[in-house]
Amino acid sequence: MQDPYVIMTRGFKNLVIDGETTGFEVNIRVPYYRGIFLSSVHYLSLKVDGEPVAREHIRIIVSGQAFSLDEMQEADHVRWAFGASARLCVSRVGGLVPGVHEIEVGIVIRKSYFPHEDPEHLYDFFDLWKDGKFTSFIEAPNFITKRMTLVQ
Amino acid sequence: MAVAIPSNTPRTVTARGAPKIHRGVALYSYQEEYLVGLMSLEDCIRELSDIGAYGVELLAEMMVPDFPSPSNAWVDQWFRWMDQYHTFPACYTQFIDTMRTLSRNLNLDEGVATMLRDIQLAKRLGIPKIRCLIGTPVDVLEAILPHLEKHDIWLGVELHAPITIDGRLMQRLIGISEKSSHFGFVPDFGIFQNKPSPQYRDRMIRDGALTAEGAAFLEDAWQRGLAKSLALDELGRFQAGPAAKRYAEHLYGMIAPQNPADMLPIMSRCRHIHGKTWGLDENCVDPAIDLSEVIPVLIEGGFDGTIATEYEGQRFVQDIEPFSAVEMIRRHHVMLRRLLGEV
Repeated sequence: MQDPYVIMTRGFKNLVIDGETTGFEVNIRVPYYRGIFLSSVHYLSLKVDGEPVAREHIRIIVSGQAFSLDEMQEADHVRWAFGASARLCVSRVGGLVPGVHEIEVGIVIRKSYFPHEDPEHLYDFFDLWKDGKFTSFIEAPNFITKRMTLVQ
Repeated sequence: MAVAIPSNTPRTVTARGAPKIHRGVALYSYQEEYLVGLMSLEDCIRELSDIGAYGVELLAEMMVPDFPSPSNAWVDQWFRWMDQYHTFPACYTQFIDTMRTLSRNLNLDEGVATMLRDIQLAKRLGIPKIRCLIGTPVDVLEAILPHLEKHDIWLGVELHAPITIDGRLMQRLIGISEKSSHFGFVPDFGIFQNKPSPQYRDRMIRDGALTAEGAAFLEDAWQRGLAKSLALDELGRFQAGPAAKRYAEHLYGMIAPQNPADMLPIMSRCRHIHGKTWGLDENCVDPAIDLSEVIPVLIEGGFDGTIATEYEGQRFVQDIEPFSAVEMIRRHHVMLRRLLGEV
């Protein structure tokens, strides 16, 4: 539902430190109808112009705090508010050349709305019980693509 | 010449023999308009007032700045809006995440802490009722009962399709509700869905996931009561589309209208309702959820609370008609007014 609004053109720019271009930045919004704990980001990936960005080259900045993606998935006390931008900062020597780029964000917000176990066998729907095993439902990754212009 | 300004509109809707049914809206419904800045929270509240849907259901994690700790100034503003627009805080839409991280599940203490956080915010905002999800762990629900009593907050578990009133989960929850007058249920009108939603189907067709032919076959098979396995076997005769099986699961799994009269034994434990809709036609008729036999049961059973429209069609029509919520919610309230005997 929020897919058209997840990748923001605003904020798309190279990162320059001490005169040196060290990477670039893409801003995204929560693809959901409420704010979440950062640890609820179940999956996050990024491609630029069809090329995957290595996970360890990505930092996510929410409310002024930076996290590696591993740290993000443990951050169960940090809120990413509805509508608020998170900055995805990518390390890449030289950044991106000015012009149009295709950005693909793969993202899943974990909607864990059922208990992780069901000893009383109460949740007998949505295929949560399958072949005698109980598994809470998790959605598949959602890939969102946007072509947008970086100026500098 | 001065324009007459109407005096305060009464909050209580007087329906035939049932003076306690209020109309409202779950602000979840305006998520798209709110996200892009077409409507602020104040705009939403003003719209509710304009359509006589005075009961506000707030999705705090969407709309409360600095959730869960808004400033006192913001809280003051919230109460001023309630006064200014003659609305009242009807319900708080609550969520619980049972997996805290990839590797760690919510424990009981954290579950209770989440509930207490929301109880405290609801209390600050003068919201007397909280809706929680159907999958909220039962040990958390049992542990929270004394806190509900202490804070005088009512908590309702959403009775949402495909859960049935006579099913194991509901029977377990009804047992909990017998221990406290502060615990009950929020029926979602989706449990009375009696026809496929054209908005859902047409979006699948536009997305190339389903063909019109496949949809027509499956709907006919479902309507005729053909077994799902047989319908799936016969699907092979059509170019039905890559997600035809998913549509079959949807029809057979989600559309099983419950008997409205089944609500009567738990009516006194239902103090809020989600008026689910995916959209209505220009005659203000909902093609998927027929309430003509539901509202009379609410009246008969003495339902005491708010029917809050929960418009969920935005996700289906966004590609052809974005920002549809205001119009569709208005149509839903024309329908509700008719059924409640207001017009």
